[in-house]
Order: sequence, then C-alpha cells, then structure tokens
Amino acid sequence: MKDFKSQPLEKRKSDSKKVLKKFPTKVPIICYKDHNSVLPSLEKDKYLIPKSLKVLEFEQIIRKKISLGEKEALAFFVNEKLMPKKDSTMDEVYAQNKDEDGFLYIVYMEENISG
Amino acid sequence: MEKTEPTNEGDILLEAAQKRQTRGRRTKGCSNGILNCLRASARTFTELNKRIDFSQDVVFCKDQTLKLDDKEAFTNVLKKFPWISYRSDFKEINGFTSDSGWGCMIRTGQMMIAYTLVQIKLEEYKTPESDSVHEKVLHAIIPMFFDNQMEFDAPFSIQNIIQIGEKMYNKAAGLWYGANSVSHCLKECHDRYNTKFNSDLEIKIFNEGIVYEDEITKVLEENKRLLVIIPQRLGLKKVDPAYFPQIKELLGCKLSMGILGGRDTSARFIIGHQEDTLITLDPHYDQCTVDTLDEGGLATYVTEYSRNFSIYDLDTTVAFCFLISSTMDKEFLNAKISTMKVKYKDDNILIMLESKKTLEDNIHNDIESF
Repeated sequence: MKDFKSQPLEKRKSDSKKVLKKFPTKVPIICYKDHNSVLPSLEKDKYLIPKSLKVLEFEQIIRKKISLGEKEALAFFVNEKLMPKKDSTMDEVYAQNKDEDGFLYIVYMEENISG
Repeated sequence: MEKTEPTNEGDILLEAAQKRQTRGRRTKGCSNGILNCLRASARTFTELNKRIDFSQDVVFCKDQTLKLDDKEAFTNVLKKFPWISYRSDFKEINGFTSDSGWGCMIRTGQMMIAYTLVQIKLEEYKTPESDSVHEKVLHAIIPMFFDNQMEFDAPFSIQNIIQIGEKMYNKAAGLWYGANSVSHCLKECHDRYNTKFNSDLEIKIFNEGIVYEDEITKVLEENKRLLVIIPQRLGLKKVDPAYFPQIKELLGCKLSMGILGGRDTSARFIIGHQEDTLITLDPHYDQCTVDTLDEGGLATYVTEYSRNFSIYDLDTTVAFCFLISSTMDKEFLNAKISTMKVKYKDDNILIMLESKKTLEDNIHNDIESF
C-alpha cells in the first residue's frame, strides 16, 4: 500500500511494536487490492488479526467485507506468492512473511481474463 | 527438444491452406479468402506439435502416460480430444458474427466440457474403444456445442453462454472471460438445458482451492457423476515455479479432465505435458460455423495439431477439472489432496474440508481495523 509505505520506516516499526505489545494474541497486517484489480476496495487497510485465525477463515472474512459474490474469483498473495496453505494460522504466515517494518502485507486480486 | 520441426514449412502451410479452402467451399456463406487462410495458417502452423521429444514419455490427462514413438501416434491421441475453435459467420450476437479475438476462453471451456461428456459417453458403450465408436460419440456430443442454435437445441452454444454471461457477469458479447467466469456460465448452461441429453452429470465449482467433501458425497449419493472445477489464480504476474510440480501432478492424475489455462492473454485447453512443456489445444484458429457434422463438418472439430509451450509461460489463472464418477474416485481425490499437502507443505494449493458450514461456523471473530 503506497500511502502506508510512504510513512517512514521507523514510524511503521514503532507502530507495529506498539500493537504487538498491547495485543499479544494478534498480528498487524496491511490488506489491500492489487493496483490492477477491479474488485471493490476495503474500507480500511490496517487490521489486527487473531494469531489463531486460519488462512481460509481470513479469506472468507475479507470476501464478506468486500461483499464479493460466490461466483467471483478471489486470490490472496503475500510476497508475490499465494498465501501459504489454507490451514496455516495467520501467526505462521506472519512469522514467515512479515515485512521489516513488522507488518504483514496481503494483496488480493480477481482472475485474469483472456480472449 | 525440438526434434519435430516441420521438414518443409511451405508444404505444411500450403496443405493447410488447401484444406481450409476446400472447407470454405463446402461451407455455405464462408467469406474467408485464401489470403486470410494463409495468414491464419502461417501464424498457427509455425509452432504446432513442437517441443515434443517423441523418444520420451508424454503424460496426458486421465493418467495416460504414453510412449508415442512417432508423430502419428501423437496426433492420434490429439484426435481423441474435441477441438473447438473461433468461428465466423454464425448467427449474430449483439452485432458479432464471429468470436475471433474475444471467444478463446469460451472455446476453451467448451472443449473441456465436450471432452468430459465424450469420456462419459464412451463409458456407456461397453465395447472397447475404437475409431468408429469414438466417431459415434463425437456425433452425439459435438452438436451440443453448435453455434447457431440456442437453449435446448445446443446447450453449450456460444449464444447460450453469452446470454448467461450477460446476466451473471454483465459481460456483453465481445468481452473476455476468465477460467472462473466461463466455468460458472457453462455450469448454468448445463443446469438449465441438460434435460436435452439426460445428463447424470453435475458440475460444481470450488473457490479458492477449497473442496467441500459433503457436496461431492451428496452428488454421488444421487447416483450422479460430478465434474469438479477448481479455478485458481496462482500468481499476481507470474506463476511461481514452486507450483509447477503440483500443476503437473493434478493435470496427469486419473480424474483429470484437463486444465483451463493459457499463455499471456490467450486461453488454451491444457491436455498434457512432457516435463516442463505443456501440451495444449488452441482455439485461435478461425473456422466457418457449421450446422452439421456431415460433409466434412466433423473435421472442423478435430485437430492433428497441439500448440505447446513452456510451463514458465503459463498464465496466472487456471482451472483444474476432475470427473468423479464413484466413491472410489472421491477417495482418490481425497487421498491425492492429503498426500499433496504433506509433499508440498507451504506451497500446497488445494485443501479438502468436510463442509462449507464447518468453515463458516468456525469463524467466530471479525477482524478489527486500527
């Protein structure tokens, strides 16, 4: 997310430290749609996620938040790859993929089309 | 690897042009001149059946690992797949009389459904598969995909698909489809018009790589078969090579009905592979619409040529397709997903859950923004 990343690294670092300390059972993430996506945007992009929440549960929650119908395709990526296996916990994903600023960046996108 | 370079490209081009010209004469109302034919052929024929090493095994979907020995054996396998391409001169849909330039994903989806229906029909004939049986089956299946007929007359016609796509996705004729959207349209075509062919088939599309076991069980309990389609986007710009082994494993497994996929923005029906080379049927070849399979019509739905490319060029969006006809098949899929989970760890792309309800019941908390 450009807006968020445009804040100085030190500020982002201290932000993540603060919330991690205050909410030891949660992890901070930034979730936004890919800049090429035509899907609806999330109202907010900064979230606190329960560590025990599973990847597939997280995906369902976001699907609901952007009111996406069941017939629409949706995919989530961290560090250019798919979110790790669906039954991982968000804590595991966070530990393996967090940014140097202490946030986990998650991008969502619809399907590609072809003619 | 490219041992099968056409010996004389000119000859192949000329032969193709002649074939098309004869077809043009046969087919009423076809206005494509020989120049167009040559142009289309030149574009298409330079890459055909390339990249295959005939001394090595080739894996086709439905777990057919074949040592083909020669090109003829290879083309004989290709001819078992219905091939559906762009068509011109069909009945107008929103000002279009051809889907050239926009219909490739629709054609790719049609090929997959046609292949699935052919497999089911072949099973009905208890005799060993022969060329004549295969031809009979194509005669029964292909008319369901004819362009000029609508609704029950041709359940999977491009007209039907577009009509449904307009309602479901607000996509007018001329707009592009993806593996997910075309699958939903084809399912809708099937559900609406299947009484025409007494289908014991159901189609289910599972989002985000999550397969729900109870939905499969339910269909099998009704003594029906299930075509499972799993559309997935595997990358933002490219497919990470970490997923290649899984793609190949799923493509080659015994339940596989191929993969809807593509390269750049051009959709292909992926039917097999040899190492990192994907073997695909290409819809990007404009032919005239036919309303009958006689007088050479059938030949326009069969091809001797595949268009192959490296898995490194695979487009991010694919749909895996599996036909499940029995409890044994369901258990096979279950076991496959379980072993893949162990084998591919964090890169694993499929998961099977008991039911959608269990997933939803487990979501107790919303997530808070801050």
